[in-house]
Amino acid sequence: MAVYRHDRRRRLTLVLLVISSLVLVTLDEQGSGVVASLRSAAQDVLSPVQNLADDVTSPATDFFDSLGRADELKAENDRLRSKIAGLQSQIAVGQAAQADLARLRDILDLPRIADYDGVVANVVDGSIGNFERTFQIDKGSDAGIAKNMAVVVGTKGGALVGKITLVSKSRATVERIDDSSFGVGVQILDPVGGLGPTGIAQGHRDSAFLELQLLGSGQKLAKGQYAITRGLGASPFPHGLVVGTVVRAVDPSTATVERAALEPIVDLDRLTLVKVLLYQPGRTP
Amino acid sequence: MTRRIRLAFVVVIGVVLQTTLFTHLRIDGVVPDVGLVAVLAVAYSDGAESGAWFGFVAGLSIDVFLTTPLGLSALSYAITGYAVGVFQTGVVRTPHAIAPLLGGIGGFFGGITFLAIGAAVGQEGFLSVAGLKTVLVAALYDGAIAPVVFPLVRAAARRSEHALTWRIGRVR
Repeated sequence: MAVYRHDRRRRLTLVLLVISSLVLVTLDEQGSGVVASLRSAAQDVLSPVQNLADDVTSPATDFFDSLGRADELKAENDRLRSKIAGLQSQIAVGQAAQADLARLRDILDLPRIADYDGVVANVVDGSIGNFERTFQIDKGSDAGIAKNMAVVVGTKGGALVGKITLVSKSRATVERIDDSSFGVGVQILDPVGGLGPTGIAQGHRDSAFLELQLLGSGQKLAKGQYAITRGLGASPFPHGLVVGTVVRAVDPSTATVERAALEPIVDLDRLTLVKVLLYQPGRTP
Repeated sequence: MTRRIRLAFVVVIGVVLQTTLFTHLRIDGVVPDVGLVAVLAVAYSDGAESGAWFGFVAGLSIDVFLTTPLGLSALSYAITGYAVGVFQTGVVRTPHAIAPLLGGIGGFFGGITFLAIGAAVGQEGFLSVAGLKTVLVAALYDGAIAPVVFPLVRAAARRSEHALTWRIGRVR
């Protein structure tokens, strides 16, 4: 009799836990403020311990991060050397275009990415789980960082690498642009610097590339074309951040929906320093 | 120190290690699931009910730091803890390599449960070949760390002599 009662209690416990979990999942999916507060509070409590653990383990983790990278770095060095030659010629053309653009911006009083305040943060840890592409930074809400803010690299804010998803007082989690739940409206730049087709770039679980779905049909894309953020309406990203370059395109004559792929211009696995743009949609700096 | 406080320490240490050190120790882009391995250890030594409760708490604690919905790990850990606890009642003789075996098989079961529930609640791309490969690599990794995690967690989960006597007396 006692064993039977024990079995029933065991099953009831499981049912109770399953129901509790499903309630939490549902509340979180609906964007409940209670769940967000719970997350934030728990992170606030644990973040000093995490910071301490990072400080203690950093010599070992730095060693593991660099392990086996000698060949990779040599190959990357060779590749970069060959790339520099091509880029130098592009710089000359780009500088002339920049001068024209700066004159036009001054006339029209348009905001630039460099005009937005930013918080520079160190990347301290990578993805916690196996089914998300994130990284953690050592600055949080105390530095003015809030959910959905754009995270970039480059002194003038050049390349988009992700957006803030979880924030505690002294740390934040950044969802990378190649995470499957990340999406952003983009504009393709044509090779001479003009504006090309628009589309939506979305991270993909099975690939390091972003899937690009073009809006409209009959669009032509060449390999290497840049995609930048459109920055429309309530988008958390300002206009003009580089999202990636086109790596492959589907022939528009054989596909009903035009899809291509974008490669991020920075190695998202090797980020060390990033900048969080304190940008609020609809506000000028 | 009471057993519950010791187990709470296990959860906190597991979360801190998972969110800091282990994010740098990737093998083929995959990290082990320290919390899940701890759940397997508790469930194997304490049974289904303890396994389910500990799984729920440990899963919820790591959920706080993940971008997946809160409660997803809690649910998959709780089910895994319960299943291992039920399995444990049928084991007559404990094999020598129980830690890596249970770490690997339990890790795989926990990973598949996480994927299945994730897909059921609308997480895109969870049921894919890449997802299964990730679960498999993570399970092997879980099996590798289990011989270190199991003794520590089982020591923390050990009941005092007094509590054990009282418990046996009550069941009778």
